[in-house]
Amino acid sequence: MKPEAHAFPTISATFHLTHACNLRCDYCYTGEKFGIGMTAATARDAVTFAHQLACEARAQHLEIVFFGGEPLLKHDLLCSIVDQVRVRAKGMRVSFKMSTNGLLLSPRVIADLAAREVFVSLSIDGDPATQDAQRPDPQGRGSAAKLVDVIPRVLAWNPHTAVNCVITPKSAPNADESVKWLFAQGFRYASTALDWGGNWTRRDLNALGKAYHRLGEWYVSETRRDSRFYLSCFDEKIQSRTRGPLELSERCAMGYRQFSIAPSGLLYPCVQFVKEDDQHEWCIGDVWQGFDDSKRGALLGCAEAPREECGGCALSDRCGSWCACMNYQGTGRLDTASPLVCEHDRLLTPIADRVANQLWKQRHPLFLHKHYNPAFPVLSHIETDVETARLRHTVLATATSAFADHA
Amino acid sequence: MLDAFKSNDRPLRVQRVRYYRVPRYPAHTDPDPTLAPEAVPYPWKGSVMAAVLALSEAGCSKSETEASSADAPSSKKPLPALEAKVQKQIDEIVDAALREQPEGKTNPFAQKLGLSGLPYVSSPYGTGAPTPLSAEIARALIARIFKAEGLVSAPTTFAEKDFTGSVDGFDKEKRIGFVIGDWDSLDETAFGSWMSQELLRFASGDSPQVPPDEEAQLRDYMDRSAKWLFERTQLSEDQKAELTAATKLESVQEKAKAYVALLQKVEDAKISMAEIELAEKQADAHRRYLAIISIYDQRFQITEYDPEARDRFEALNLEAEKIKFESADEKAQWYRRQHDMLWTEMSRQRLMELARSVREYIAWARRSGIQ
Ligand code: SF4
Ligand code: SF4
Repeated sequence: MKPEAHAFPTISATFHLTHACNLRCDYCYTGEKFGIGMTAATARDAVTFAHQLACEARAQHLEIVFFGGEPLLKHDLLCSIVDQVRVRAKGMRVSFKMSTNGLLLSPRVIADLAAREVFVSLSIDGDPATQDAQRPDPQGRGSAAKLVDVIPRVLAWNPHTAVNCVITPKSAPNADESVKWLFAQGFRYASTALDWGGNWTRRDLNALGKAYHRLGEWYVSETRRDSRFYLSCFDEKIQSRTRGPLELSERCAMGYRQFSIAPSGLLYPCVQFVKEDDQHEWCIGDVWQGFDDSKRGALLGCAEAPREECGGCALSDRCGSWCACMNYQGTGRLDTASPLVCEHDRLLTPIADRVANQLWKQRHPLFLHKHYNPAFPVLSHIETDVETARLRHTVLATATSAFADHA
Repeated sequence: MLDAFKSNDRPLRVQRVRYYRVPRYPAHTDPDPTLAPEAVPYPWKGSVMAAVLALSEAGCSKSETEASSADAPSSKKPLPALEAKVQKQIDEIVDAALREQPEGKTNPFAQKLGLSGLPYVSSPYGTGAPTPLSAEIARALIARIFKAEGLVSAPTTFAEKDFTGSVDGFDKEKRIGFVIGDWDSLDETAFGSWMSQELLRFASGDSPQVPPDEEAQLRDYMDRSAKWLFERTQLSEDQKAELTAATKLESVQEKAKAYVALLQKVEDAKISMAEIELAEKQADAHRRYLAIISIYDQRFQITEYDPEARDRFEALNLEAEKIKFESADEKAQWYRRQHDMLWTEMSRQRLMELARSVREYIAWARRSGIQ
C-alpha cells in the first residue's frame, strides 16, 4: 500500500533525543533507560532529512516533536535543532512540540523554549499520590513535589499547555479525581490515555467505567458553567460522531505522515516502536538513505487492512481500534483489534454520548460551538490568550531578553 | 458472589456491537447546529453591547422609553422598553452625535459601499468572532435621533408593487424611515441560509432519487432544518398550523414542497435584496428614503480581537505592572473592571458611529429632497 504522493499536508517528525530519563514510570513503553543520546551530527542530518522530505512532499506544514526518554536532558541539542529548522524552513510553516515529564522546566529552560515557541505537553498523571505512585524517580521517590513550582510557571508562560495523564489499572478507580485535579491546577487541555500495554482486568475496567461516569457529570456541569476546556476522552469520542472518522491524512499513517527518528538516526513508524533502537522488524529506514518504501508500505497495508473481527460492528466508525500501535501493544499485531481497546471503547462511547445528549438537549451554546464550529479551537485559543495576557506578558518579556542574550 | 467474581475475571475480548442506539446530538451528516438560534450570536461576549452598557452605569429607575406610537398598521412588535441605564447611555451617545454637524454628502447605508455585510451568508463556521449590532439598541438609538431631528418614527408595513415589508420607523409625511436588517426583516436573498436552499432543491425535484431506506433519515433531516428555519420568524396561527401539517407529511418531496410554500409566504413579507437595491435607486424618484441598516454592518459590530482591542489590552498589562496590589483578588478585580470599561468604550464607539451615520443619512436625504 502506498498513499498518493502529496497526500499529507502536514509532515510530523519526532526526534527521540535520548534514551535516558530522570524518571522510571511503571508503564513506560520507551524501553530501557540508558545514556545514549542523539549526537549533534546526527541531529543535523536528521534536520536535513525531515526538511527535504517535507519539501519533496510539498507539505504545507512541518511539525517537529521532541521525545525521549526525557528530551530536556538534551536541552541544548533541542534548542539547536529548533534554530536549524527555522533557518532552513524559509516560507514553510514549522511548529515545535515537546513531550516532557516537566522536572527540568526551570525558568531559564522555559525562557529558551518560549523564545523558540516550542509547545510543551506535560506528562503528569494527576494528584500527588497518583503521580508519586506511577511516576517515581530511579531511586523510587515520588516526583510530585518537584512539580509544585513547575505547573504554575509553565501555565503562566503558556496557558494552552497540554497535560497528558496516563490511566493504569491501579489509578483507574480515581481517574476522575486525577483529571479534576489537573484542571484545578489551571490546565485547560488534558489528554487521557490508558496504559495500553498494562495488565487490565474486567474489574479494573468496571472501576474505570464508574470514574468515567463521575467525570461525565463533571464535564456537563463545567460546560454549563461556560468553562472552556478540552478533555480528550470525552471530546474525541463526541467528535467521532460530530466530525466523522479521521481520514488517513489526519492519522499517523505508519511513517507516511508521522515518523520517529531514534537517537541513532534510524527511522520508525511511531514512538511506540523505537524502544532500545534494536527493533529491526519495525525499522523503516534511516536519515541518510531515507525510507525503505517496501517496508513502510507493507506496514501501512497491514495497519489499514480491514479487521475481520470488527466486521459489522455498530461502533466501527467511532472506535479507536484504527490505531495500529495501540492494537500492537495489546496483541503484538498491527492488524488485530486489541481486546482492551475494544472493551474500553464499548465502555466509554455510551458515556460520552450521554454527556453530549444532555448538553445538546439544552442546546448549550458552548457545546454547540465546541463540537460543530470548526473555528472554535482558534476562537477559544484567542479568548484564553486575552484572558491570560497579563500572565504571559512578563514571561515573554523574560523570554525575549533571554533569547537576545543567547543570540 | 462466585458468579460475579467470575464475570469480573472473564478475559477481555473483542466483541462486535450489534446494535447501538443512535445518539440524539447531531452527527457530521446532520444539519449544522451552529445555525440554530441558541448558538447565535457567538456565546461568550455575545451581547456585549447590551450587557456592557447595562453593567457600566449604576442603577437608575425604569426608562420612560415609549413604544413608538403606531400611526400606521404594522406587523412589527412595539419596541421593548430598555433598561433605564442602557437608555441613559443611548441618550448620551445621541446627544454627543447631535453636537456634530453632518455633511450629508452621501448615503452612508448605500449597498454599493460594501460595508453593510449584505447579502449575509450564514456559514457553517458558526457566527465567528464579531459581535453583531444589537437590534434593540439600534432601534432605540435611531428612534431617539429621529425624534431629535423632528421626524416621526412609526413602525410601518409596506405592500407596494416594488416594496413589501415592515420597516422599523417611518415618517409618513416626510417619507423617511429605517429598517434594522435582521433575520426578521430581510428575506432569503439578503440573509441567506443553506437550509432553505436545501429545501428548495428537494421541492424542485432537482435532487437525485432518494433510496427508500434513507427516506426516514431525510425526513428527519428536513424537519429539523425547517424547525430551525422557522424558529427565527414570528409565524401567524395559520402559518403555525401549516408548519405542523408539513411536519406530518410522509413523502419527502411533498414535505419539501409544503415547507417551501410556507417559506415563500414568510419570506414574501420580508424585504429582499432586489427591493433594497431598487428602493435605493428610486429614492429620489419616489421621494421615499429608507435606510437599511444591517446588524452585520462592519462599522457597527465589535470584532473582539481586532488589533485595537489587543493593543489596548497589552497597554492594560503594562499599567498593571506599575500598580502595587494588596492581593491577587484585588488585582483580578482591577482587571475585570478595566476590561468591562474597555468593552463599554468600544460599544459606545460603535454606537456613536451608528448615530453619526444615521444623522449623515438624514442630512443626505434632506439635501436630496425630503420635505
Ligand atoms: S517520563 Fe516518560 S520516558 Fe521517562 S520513564 Fe516516564 S514515561 Fe518513560
Ligand atoms: S474493536 Fe470492538 S468496538 Fe471497536 S470496532 Fe472492533 S468490535 Fe467494534
